[in-house]
Amino acid sequence: MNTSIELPKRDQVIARDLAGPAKAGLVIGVLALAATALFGLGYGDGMRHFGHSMLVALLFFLAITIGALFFTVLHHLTSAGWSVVVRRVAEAITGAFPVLFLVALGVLVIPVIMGSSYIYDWASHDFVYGGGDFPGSELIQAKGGYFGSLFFGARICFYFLVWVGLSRFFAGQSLAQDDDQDPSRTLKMQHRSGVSMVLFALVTTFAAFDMSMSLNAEWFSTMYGVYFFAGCFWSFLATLALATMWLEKRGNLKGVVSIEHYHDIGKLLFAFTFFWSYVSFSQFMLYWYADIPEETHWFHYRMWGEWTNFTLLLAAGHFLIPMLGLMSRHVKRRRGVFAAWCIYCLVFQFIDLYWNVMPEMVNGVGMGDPATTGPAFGMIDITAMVSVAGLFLFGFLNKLNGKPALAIGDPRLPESLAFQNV
Amino acid sequence: MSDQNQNSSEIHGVVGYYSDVDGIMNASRKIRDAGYKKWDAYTPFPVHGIDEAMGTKPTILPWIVLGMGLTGLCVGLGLQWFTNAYDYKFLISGKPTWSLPANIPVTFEVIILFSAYTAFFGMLALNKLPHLSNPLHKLERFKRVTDDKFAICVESKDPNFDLARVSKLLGVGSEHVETCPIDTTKAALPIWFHGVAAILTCASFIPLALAFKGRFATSEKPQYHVWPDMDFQRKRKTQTAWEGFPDGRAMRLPVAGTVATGELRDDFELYHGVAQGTAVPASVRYDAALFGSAAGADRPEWLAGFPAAVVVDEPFLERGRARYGIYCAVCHGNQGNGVGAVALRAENLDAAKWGWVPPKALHSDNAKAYSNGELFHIASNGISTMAGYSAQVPAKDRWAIVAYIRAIQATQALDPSAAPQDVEFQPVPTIDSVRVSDSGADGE
Repeated sequence: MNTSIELPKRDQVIARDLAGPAKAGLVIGVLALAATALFGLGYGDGMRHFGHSMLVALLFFLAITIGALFFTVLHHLTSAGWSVVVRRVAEAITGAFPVLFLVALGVLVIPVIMGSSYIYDWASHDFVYGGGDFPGSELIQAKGGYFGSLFFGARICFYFLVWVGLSRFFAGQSLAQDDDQDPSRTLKMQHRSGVSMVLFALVTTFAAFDMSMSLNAEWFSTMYGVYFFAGCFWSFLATLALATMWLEKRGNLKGVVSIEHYHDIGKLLFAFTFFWSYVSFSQFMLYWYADIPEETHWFHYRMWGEWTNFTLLLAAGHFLIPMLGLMSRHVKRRRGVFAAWCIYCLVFQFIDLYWNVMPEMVNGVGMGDPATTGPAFGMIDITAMVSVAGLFLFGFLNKLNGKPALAIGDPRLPESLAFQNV
Repeated sequence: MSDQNQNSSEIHGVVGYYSDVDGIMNASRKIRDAGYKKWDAYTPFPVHGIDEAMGTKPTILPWIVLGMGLTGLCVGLGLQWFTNAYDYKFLISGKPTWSLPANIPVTFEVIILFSAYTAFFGMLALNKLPHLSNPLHKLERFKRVTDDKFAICVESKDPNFDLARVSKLLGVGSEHVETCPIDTTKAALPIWFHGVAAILTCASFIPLALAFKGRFATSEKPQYHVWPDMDFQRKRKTQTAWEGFPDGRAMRLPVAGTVATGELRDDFELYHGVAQGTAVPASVRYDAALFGSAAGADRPEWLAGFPAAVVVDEPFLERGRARYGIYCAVCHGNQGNGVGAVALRAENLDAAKWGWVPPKALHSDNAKAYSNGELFHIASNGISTMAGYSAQVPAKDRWAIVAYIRAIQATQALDPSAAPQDVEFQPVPTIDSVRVSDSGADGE
């Protein structure tokens, strides 16, 4: 084979001077969080808009981080070769789990345990069992055992415990391998990747149920977990490409990552564009066909009323346009064009989560009808995104700072460096 | 082998052999840059980047697949539109006959089908496969290409082919260069191949022939069951015997003390023709003990008038006339005189010898003497050889028929001289007047 591959030197790939940007992310995140809270107070709706905007932002960046963990575990599970050069970027992104855990604690867990139903209707005793303005909901009462505030908090903590644990194991082994070049670490990670993947799948599915699907606790969908996951990996791949391009520009991955690697990321991005469509349509079609009111109502106020155009936008923008746009190999093999499509995908991942979460803001305890209210996008949604984005960048860059941006000790690095698409 | 002495028209091409990937890549670039077209590289495994080194143009296969995928889209949607929404409209689960959510899965499958087949067979066709023979296979050295050697062959068909120049180009970095002679061996398939092909071709017609035979032939033999567990399901059909239950019936009786929806007949007047709350007569064909003046103490309290649930008015009588025309007139005649088409036919066949009892004239004194309740019971349950009509005619319609019979009886009692004089009055015929006599059938 071609023997002319030069392994990059350790000094060339170390990502230095990231403490500044990380700190900036933290400061911007905290400031934007304060701004979001002020905007939320201005609405005078018991912080309901604040809660839902923060939930969209949290889910958006959590999805990217979950996708990064999946990519890392999948790399070892399939004993992949080509992706070694970008795996460190994914491992660094999983460093955002702890800071996102803090956001989840503050926005979701602690308010629910303190008895607030500003996000989750099931946390309101009156809403579930009747009282005040509410007739009560037998459907939620039947699930009463699952929807307890302490149990909910314990579950969220458990999910993050698993995510943080898995990401620390894989990133830790990978970093240790940088120093000792020990191939047995790769085997160790491969051996543990199977059970990690099972654990990951269960935790991610139930996290999607608890954090997003339970916004309308009467509704249920067994496909919701995989639907959320499809968005996770989709948005992660877009983020991975953008982050890699940025590190390449900084010089940390210069001459290491080639257009071949972007081409492969692009292929996965294209595939998962379709996977998302496949899953979301499957979820929709089963309910459409059975036509049972307690199952269709979730779609009904999204499809008929003020959300109709938004739903059509999602179907066209999350499926049709990127599928046609990402189909050509020339798109995936041009950095600039591909970067534009990655940004496009991230925008529509936001729109997807917004579509999932925001109709529930006025529903239920919100005492309104989503079909007649429609989207109410405002500054608060932007500041919420900026806030979690800052905190996410802090977690990501802090993890990467001072470490090689490349898994320099991986025994399959030469294979990845020499990788070419046929 | 004296390579250099051969004429270029007698050789297939020139072959250069290389020991590694770098060697063949360099040689490929040289041949590419020299502008040759009819040449190919042969390697024991896929070599990344050789397309570029050989100057191979990108394949057009993706465009063909895209085109066929779009064709599949149209065919899938069109198939469902034609079969379910146009040619044979069929309602499934109350969904629209033409509805995109229901059509997407099938359309998706057809797109995949068309695309996958196009990708597979298009790849074969564009690679000119299957290609059964190549003169290079005759070269002893070329066999190493399936193991550890790399080779390039520039064919003599190339317009720029020049033996000396090509040999020189291929020689750089090569292990060996040789010419490949044209394959002159007779291109004949082995004899056994023809036999096997003939047998397989004939065998392939067997399923078609069997299907064709099945279309036209009849057979005494029982049908062959492809899915016996579907044809013979472990279930009992209605109205059959089964020893599994103590009473030997496969069907179950209604649970004691329950009434099926719509079967609650608590209106005695409407459903039984007797006064509310009195004894209900059994639903059996005429029982003399229950009827007329001869009946004893068991005679039910037959309703003299009409049930409270019906309103006797002109539409009701019109309803009765229509029902009478449909169900009764065929025996009792349109005028209620007992001269219907069936009665006439039976009379002419002398059906009485088989036990046939002729239908009665409904305006006879005997019929007039019955109460409304008794007439209703007869219409419902039958009398002598007449069957009951409770299964075919709903209760209210039977009461409408009773009302119409009363109207027939009333009109028969009128004095003919009171009828309008400008209408020719014809007496209602009786069964005797219409009997076809053996002697006068032709003359009258």
